[in-house]
Amino acid sequence: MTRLAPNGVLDVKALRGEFPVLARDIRGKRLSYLDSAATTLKPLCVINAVDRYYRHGTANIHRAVHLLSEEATGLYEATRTAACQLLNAADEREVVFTTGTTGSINLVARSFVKPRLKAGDEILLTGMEHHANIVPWQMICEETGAKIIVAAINDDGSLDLASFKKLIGPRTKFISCVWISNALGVINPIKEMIDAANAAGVPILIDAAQAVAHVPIDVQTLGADFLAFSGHKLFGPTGVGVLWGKLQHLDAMPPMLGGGDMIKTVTFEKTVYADAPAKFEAGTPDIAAVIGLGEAIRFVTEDVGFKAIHSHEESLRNKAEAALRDVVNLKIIGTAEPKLPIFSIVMGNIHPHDVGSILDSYGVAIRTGHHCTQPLMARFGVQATSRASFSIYNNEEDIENLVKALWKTQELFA
Amino acid sequence: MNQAASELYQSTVLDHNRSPRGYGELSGTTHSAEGFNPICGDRVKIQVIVGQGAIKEIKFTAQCCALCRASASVLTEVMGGQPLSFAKSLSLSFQSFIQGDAQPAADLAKSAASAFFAIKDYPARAKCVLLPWHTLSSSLTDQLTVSTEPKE
Ligand SMILES: Cc1ncc(COP(=O)(O)O)c(C=O)c1O
Repeated sequence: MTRLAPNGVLDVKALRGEFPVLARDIRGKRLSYLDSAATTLKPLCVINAVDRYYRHGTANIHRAVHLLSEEATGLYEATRTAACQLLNAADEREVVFTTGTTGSINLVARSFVKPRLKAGDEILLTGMEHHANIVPWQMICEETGAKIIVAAINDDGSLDLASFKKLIGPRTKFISCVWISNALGVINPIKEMIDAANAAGVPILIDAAQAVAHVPIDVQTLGADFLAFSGHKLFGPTGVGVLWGKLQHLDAMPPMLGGGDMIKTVTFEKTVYADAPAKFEAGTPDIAAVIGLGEAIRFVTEDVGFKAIHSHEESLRNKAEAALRDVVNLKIIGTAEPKLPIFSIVMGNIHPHDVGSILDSYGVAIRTGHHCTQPLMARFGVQATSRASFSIYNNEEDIENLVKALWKTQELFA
Repeated sequence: MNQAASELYQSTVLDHNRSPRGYGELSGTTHSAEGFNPICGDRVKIQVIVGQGAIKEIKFTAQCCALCRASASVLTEVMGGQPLSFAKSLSLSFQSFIQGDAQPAADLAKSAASAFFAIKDYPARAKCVLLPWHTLSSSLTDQLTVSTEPKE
C-alpha cells in the first residue's frame, strides 16, 4: 500500500505505523532511532513475509518437486527478479545472493581479483572505506605481494577526485570504493569515478551498502563491474545481501564455496559447476531472509519510492543541520555536499561513549565509535565520533530529541 | 536530568571526571601497567609504589571516556595507602559484583566506588568502569598490558 500522501510526499505518520519497533518505549522514553546507517528498522510487511515462510511454507529450494518446495523456490527466485529490477541489471543471472556486503566483497576479492594479482600490482581504494572494503583486499595482497593504494580525503570529507584519478595507473588491477560513506554520509561522485576506471580499463566494484536505501541505482548507466549491498540496510532481514556483477565476469570466476546447489554433475573424479549465479550459492541459503529482502525491495520501490525518500531525507538533513549548528561546542565531520542525513558529531572533549549513554537515556539511539572506518577517523584525528543517521521513518521530533539530548550532554559535562 | 543518566553519571562521578584525583606520573614506581579497550579506544596507565605490603602511592593517566576517568580517579582514592590484601579483595569484590551475581563486600559498598554500582544495568559501559581496576590488578601481578578483549 502506498505510503505517499496525495501530493506525492511521504506520509511519515502512516509510514511510522509500519515499523513496530518505533512503538517501543526506551527506558520510559519515546524511541528516536537514529542508527539506520548501522541497520534499518523492518516494516511489518517484511516481518510478515519472513514469518509466512516459516509458518506457512517452510521448504528447501531448488531440490524437490513437492508444492512447498516449489513455492519456496518461486519466492526465492522472485527476489532475484526484484533485485534485478531494483538495480536495473541487464540479466537476472547477474544477481548473486550472498550473506551481505562483506560476503559480496570477499567473493570478488577471492574469486575475481586474487587470481589476477602478482607482486607489485595495486588495488585502489579511497580513504573513507568501511573495514569490509579494506580487510579483504589486504588479505589477498598479503598472499600475492600486491599492495593497496589509497585516494585522499579532503578536509570537508569529500574524496579528492583528482588524486583518485591520478592514482589509476599501469599497476592498478582493481578499484573498490564506497558510494556513500557510512561514517560521514558524504556521497561520492561515483559516475566520474567509474568513468575514470573504465577509461583506464580497470575493473571497479561499488560498495553500495549505504546507497541502496537512499538513491536509485542503475548498474547499466553506472557502468561499474561489480556492486554490493546488504539487505538489512534496505529495510530487509539480516543475513542476506547481493553481489551484482557483469555476467562475463561472473562466468569467468571460479566458485568460492563448493557444495550442493552449485553443480551440474558430480562424480568422485570431477564436478561440473553450475552457471552463475547458482555457482556462487552453494548450500542452503538464508531462504527466509532472501524472501524478506524481496518484500523489502517491493516496499521501498512501490510503497515509498526514491523520489519521496530523497525529498523527505533532504528536508530532514537541512533541518537537522540547522538545529545542530546551534549546539555549542559541536563539530560535524564531513560537511561536503551532496550528503545523506548522517552526522558524525564531535563534542569538544566529551567522549562519544558518554554522549551515546546520555542520548540513550533520552531514548535517542545513535552509534558511537569508529564506525568500522578507523583509517578515516585517523584522517580526522579522532578515535571515534557520535553518529546520528536518519531514514524514511524519522521526523522532526527525532531531530528535536537529538538536539535536546545533546544540550543535556553539554550541561552535564560543562 | 532523567533517571537513567543520573544513575550512571552521579555527581560523584561527574566530579571525579572534572577534577580527577591521583592524575599524573609517579617516579620510583614499583609496579605499573597499561590497560586498553580496543572497542572504544580507552587507554589507562596505572603506576604504583608498593612498600611493606601496602600501596604507598598510586597515580594514573588516561585517554578515555568520563566513566573510565572517574573510575580511575576513585580507584586511586580508595586504594591509596591500603594494604595489598585489601586492594586485592576490594578489586575482586567490585569486579564480581559488576559482572556477576555476587553481593558487594561491606568495604566496597561504603567506598566511593559504590557511585558506579548502577553500571551493572548497562553492560555495554561496564568495561569502561572496570578497565582501571583490571589494570591495577594486572600491575600488581606484573602483567604489563591488559586488554578488555581476549588475546588474539
Ligand atoms: C559502507 C559500508 N560498507 C560495508 C558494510 C558492511 O556491511 P555488512 O556488515 O552488512 O556486510 C557496511 C555496514 O556497516 C557499510 O556501511
